[in-house]
Amino acid sequence: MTNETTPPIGPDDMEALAKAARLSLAPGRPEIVAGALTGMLESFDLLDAVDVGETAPTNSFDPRWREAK
Amino acid sequence: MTDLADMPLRAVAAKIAAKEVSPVEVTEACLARAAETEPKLTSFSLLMADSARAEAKAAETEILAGGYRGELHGIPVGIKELYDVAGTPTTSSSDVRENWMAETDSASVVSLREAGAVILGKTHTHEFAYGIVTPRSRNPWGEDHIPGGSSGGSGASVAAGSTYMSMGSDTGGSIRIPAAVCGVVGLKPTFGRCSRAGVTSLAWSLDHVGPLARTVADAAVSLNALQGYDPRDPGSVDVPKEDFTAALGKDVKGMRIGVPKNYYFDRVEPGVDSAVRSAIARLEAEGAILSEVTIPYADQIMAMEFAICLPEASAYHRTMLRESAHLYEEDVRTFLEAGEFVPATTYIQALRVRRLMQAELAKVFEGIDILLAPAVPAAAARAGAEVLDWGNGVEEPLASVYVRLSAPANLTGLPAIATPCGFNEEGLPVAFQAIARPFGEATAIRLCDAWQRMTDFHEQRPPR
Repeated sequence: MTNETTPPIGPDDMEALAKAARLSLAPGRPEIVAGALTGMLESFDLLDAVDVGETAPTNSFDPRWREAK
Repeated sequence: MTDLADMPLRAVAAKIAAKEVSPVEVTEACLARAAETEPKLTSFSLLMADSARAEAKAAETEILAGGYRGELHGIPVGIKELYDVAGTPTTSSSDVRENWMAETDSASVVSLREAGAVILGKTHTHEFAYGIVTPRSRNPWGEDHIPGGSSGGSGASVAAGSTYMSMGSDTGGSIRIPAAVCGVVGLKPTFGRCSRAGVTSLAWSLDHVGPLARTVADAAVSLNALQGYDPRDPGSVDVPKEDFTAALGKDVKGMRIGVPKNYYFDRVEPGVDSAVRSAIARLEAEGAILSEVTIPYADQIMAMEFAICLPEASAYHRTMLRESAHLYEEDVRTFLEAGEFVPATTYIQALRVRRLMQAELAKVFEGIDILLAPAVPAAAARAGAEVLDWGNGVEEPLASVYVRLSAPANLTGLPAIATPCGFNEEGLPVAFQAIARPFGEATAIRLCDAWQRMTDFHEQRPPR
């Protein structure tokens, strides 16, 4: 996987993302959400460190191990 | 004589069964306790005194006529504000759903009513279960401390003696966290064991429902009533019902306990570390067999938890967020807005790593029966705190502190029981959690019940 890390997301980026998501952010919210989102996406970089190969997602979760193998 | 409100569920049930006390007396004892403690704790969002008294009277009549249903008959319980109780609002402790009326009972409430339980009231949750503070409630062990969350009202009501059992839900520890910091037992069943029908979702693939109670035995009795396949819940698994009380009264000889050498003890308060390690040593002295184990994908656990929870929660709230964003509390609003922008590929990557972790943890369990670890890294934080200062300039957001040791059992769906195992230097409760194989609740119940029969931490009562 790539070693690239998530670049910071600014309020202007947030406005564009919100437009694409059809989510209206109230005045002052883009700054707050941008900061929170940047932190979250940075933490998610750790997921990209895993070589998942051909592993399928657990898109319908089943706790039984016989299903997991 | 011990106040009825201070006795565990099973002890009171025995008195009811023997007709030594009436459900009416028991309910009045709980209402009296609530009247005394609620001004400080606010564990209830809705106290249903009138209907509870009527249900208690009906139970009394039925029992006197020879119709005793079992150990929950006539027992006052609390229901987390996320659960539908017919004829009451399911506000999720949020202004967003202030007038959201439930027309029918949730599956858990149906089961509890069938068992004869008395619904004493609804207990506060952190708004929509999306947090670990439950800001509207306080901790009976220290009124300037949080009761944990999101099932904070349930933890506080059980610890205070207002209910014998209260229902919780657990997406990232929300049963086990309040149980641990309020000094009670929290049982998160296997994913799929108990129906979530009629319970407001936080994240579908991580949500569990289960009981908080004074003792492991009380939780086992409750689980007996709550379990069962329900096709209305897509996560429900069709497995045979069990009698979990059959796991009570046994010892730990020969039980294989896995002690994590990474992750679970990496950053915990000294009082928690010493209490849990002392418990492990005591269990070994009683005949348990210890082995060190390594938690797989430890670096990815929190990333998985949040990369799954955030978009699932934002998807659930998609319409409400667009219509009523201003009515959410600031912390939940920020989570929901940010969750809109987690890439789908990141979400799926988390689900793929989740599958790998599940398979690797299954290998770990080939050599153990129970994984034993701290339930939470710290005792109850002070109300108003946003971070925990670990010293040396390291501050950790509270959500991270309290979720990180809970998340593995949510990601894997494994059953886990938080059980009191001591007090820190401030006199606040601390707890371990026993995690078992899928549908291995009986194994965890056996160990935790044995622990409670060799200790008295669960018998300590908060100051009044």
